Amino acid sequence: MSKLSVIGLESDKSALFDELMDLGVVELNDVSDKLLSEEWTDIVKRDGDEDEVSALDARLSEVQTILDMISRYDTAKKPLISTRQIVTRKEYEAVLADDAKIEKEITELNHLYEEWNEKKSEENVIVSTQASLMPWMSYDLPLEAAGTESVRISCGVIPAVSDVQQMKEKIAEVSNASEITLISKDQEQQYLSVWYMKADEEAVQDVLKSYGYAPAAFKEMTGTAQENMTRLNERLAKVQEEEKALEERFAGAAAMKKEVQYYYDRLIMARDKAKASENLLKTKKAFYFDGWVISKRKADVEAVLKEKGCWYEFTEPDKDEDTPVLLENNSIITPFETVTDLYSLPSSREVDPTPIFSIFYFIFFGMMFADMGYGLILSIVCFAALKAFKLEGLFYKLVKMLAFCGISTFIWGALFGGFFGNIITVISGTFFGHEIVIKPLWFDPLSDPMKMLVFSCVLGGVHLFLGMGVKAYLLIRDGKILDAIEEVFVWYAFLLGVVLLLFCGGFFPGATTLGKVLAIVGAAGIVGIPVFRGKGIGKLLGLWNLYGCTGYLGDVLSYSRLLALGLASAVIAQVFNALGGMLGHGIVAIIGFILIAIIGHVFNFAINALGTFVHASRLQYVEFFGKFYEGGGVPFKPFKKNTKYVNIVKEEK
Amino acid sequence: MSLGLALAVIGAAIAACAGVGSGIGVGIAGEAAAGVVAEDPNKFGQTLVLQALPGTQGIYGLLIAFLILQKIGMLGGSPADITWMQGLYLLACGIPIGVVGIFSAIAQGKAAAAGIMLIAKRPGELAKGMVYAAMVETYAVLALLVSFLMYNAIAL
Repeated sequence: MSKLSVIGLESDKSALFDELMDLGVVELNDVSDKLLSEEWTDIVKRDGDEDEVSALDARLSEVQTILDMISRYDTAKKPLISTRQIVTRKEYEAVLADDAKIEKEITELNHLYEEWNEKKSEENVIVSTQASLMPWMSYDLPLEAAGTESVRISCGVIPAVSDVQQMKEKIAEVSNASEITLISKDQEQQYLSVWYMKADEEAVQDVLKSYGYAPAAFKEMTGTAQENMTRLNERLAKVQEEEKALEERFAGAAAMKKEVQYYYDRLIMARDKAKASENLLKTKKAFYFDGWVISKRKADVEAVLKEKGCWYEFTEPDKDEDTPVLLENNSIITPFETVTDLYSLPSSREVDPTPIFSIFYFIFFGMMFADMGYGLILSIVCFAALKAFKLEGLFYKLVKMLAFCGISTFIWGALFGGFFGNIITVISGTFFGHEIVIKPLWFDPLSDPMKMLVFSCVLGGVHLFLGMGVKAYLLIRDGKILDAIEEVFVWYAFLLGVVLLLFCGGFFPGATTLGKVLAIVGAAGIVGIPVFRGKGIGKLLGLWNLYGCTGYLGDVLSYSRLLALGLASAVIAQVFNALGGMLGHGIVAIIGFILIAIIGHVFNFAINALGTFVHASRLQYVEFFGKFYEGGGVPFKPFKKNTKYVNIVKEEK
Repeated sequence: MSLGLALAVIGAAIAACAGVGSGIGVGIAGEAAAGVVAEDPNKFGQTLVLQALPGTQGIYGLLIAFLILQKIGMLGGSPADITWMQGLYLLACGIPIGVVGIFSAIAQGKAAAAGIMLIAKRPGELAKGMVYAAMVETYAVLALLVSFLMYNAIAL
């Protein structure tokens, strides 16, 4: 990353920003901190038009709503994965040529949407009113009837737990004549019609209140509950019909969908451009901004700035300065950036770990999935997806990484002799009476798991040592050679020594002695170096550090999951093959076998692909990154065309 | 049928019981996922990935149970004639994955549910939620390994 500062003329601003947006390699810095110092505020003020930004934002959300409505009611088949369409600027402009027509359509659709919303809320009111009327369906009096000259009629509810009979008796005590009818009852409430003499109003009300009676509110409904219900049903049908007509109108607007989408993207670009101005400082006639540029693309930016007659300056960041981070790798390594992206980008002072761990990710994934059939499927599906869809960003990287991992899965499948588990053996044995066994190129982990376990742990040890090596590199780069010795090299000596001492006695003469020496030297270093370098209690830190070797033991054993998950995918595949094989001979058995095989292998594929992805990542995150990686880098966010539906490219020459 | 065979079948049954934990774990994560998807249906895919994670213990249990049943010939229809001591060995093989599977899957279900809450607030952090859940699974993987190594060491 290089720092860029630019001063230009206000009159060139718009054109310049169009070009910078096209390039998409400049990130604009926030100028807020400059506005805190008087040196700056004396001559400049913040550029930007907030009103314009918020007006564009409002318009954007309107258009978004319309697009949502169109895709909700459009019956046309939607693509499985929606990607940005690649168009040239010429094509893009051609679609948007009839500006007025699109705007008119959008305004109209917007009105329709408001209308539709009103209908929807009316529908809600009707439905809830109907629900509140349901308990009163058997009540035959008009709902508005409040009584006669001397009789009061009241409808209301009491809680389900209240005793209606008891209440009736209590009311009879205080009133000369009363009639209480239970209209209906549900889990929470009892619905009552209460008649009493107006003369006894107060006394009756008191009793009612003590039973938790609450009058029912029928708003302005007239007629019986039955009549009201019929009326509401009619109204509801009408409202729903109107809604339907509106929805069909939206479905019909699908013909204009492309134009509306392009229009939406144009709004986004206009909004982003207006927003970018907020990062500018201006005087009456000039503007200033600074930001970050990808170092490799400096020349392109320079050409644009020169053409527009701007003053500009590129500077390199200070050694300790935090810069935005953009990972750059070749096309084989790039897909594995997925794993780094999902964790956290390296800070600008660290190295990008992707090229270092990508080969291990590739190997680990293959070992845990290890099946020729699954590998083929994974690779074919992913490469086909890459071919068929113009995927972008993280999703593109993920799919491509899985495509590579499919190759690794195939290779390990061949080494361990797995093809959809042991499907060929089962088919040949069951249906042809002659078992054909695919011979593994290397060995079958199921029959020799100890060999596989040792291999997994050795591979893990190499992975861990590499992680420690990166740490040593970083420390030495920063001039902390003693730290590198204390934290990495003495551990190398100690761990290597222990391994030689314990396991390699038979490999070559003197291994045990060499191991003993290395282990002692290493242990002496681990305990001894802090005695010289530490202060106070820190001198004894070495003893505590030595305890850290249990951590290394745990780390190495963690790689045993390479064996365990490999077993899981292989054995579960065999389970399904065996289940299918139990059906015996004949046409029905063959069909059953095929069904069980398809369902079983799809299930096994899905669950194990997920598990493998997670555990291969975990080995990087916990074991490998734990040795040296901090992360926390801020991603580079260039000022570019952040469009949603189209990817505008330059015309081909 | 001999006592040894019965003991071995009990071992397979214990191993398969890891599914109890997976059922509970996946259930816990599913409840959390449904709550999140109620707010934002677009998160269905992400939450499903996390919900699936505690399901693996059940599979590990199935794996060991299947291997035991296969070894004693219960799947081929001709049960092997094994001594009660061999049966007891095979019973022991089922215990690590059975017991560890139950408890680790429940704990993993809780971690996955927490991960689902994490992506409800920060949709970009799916990987971290997955790693937290995968940390729990490590112990189920180790138990599977122990069960398998024990199983593998027994010759009938």
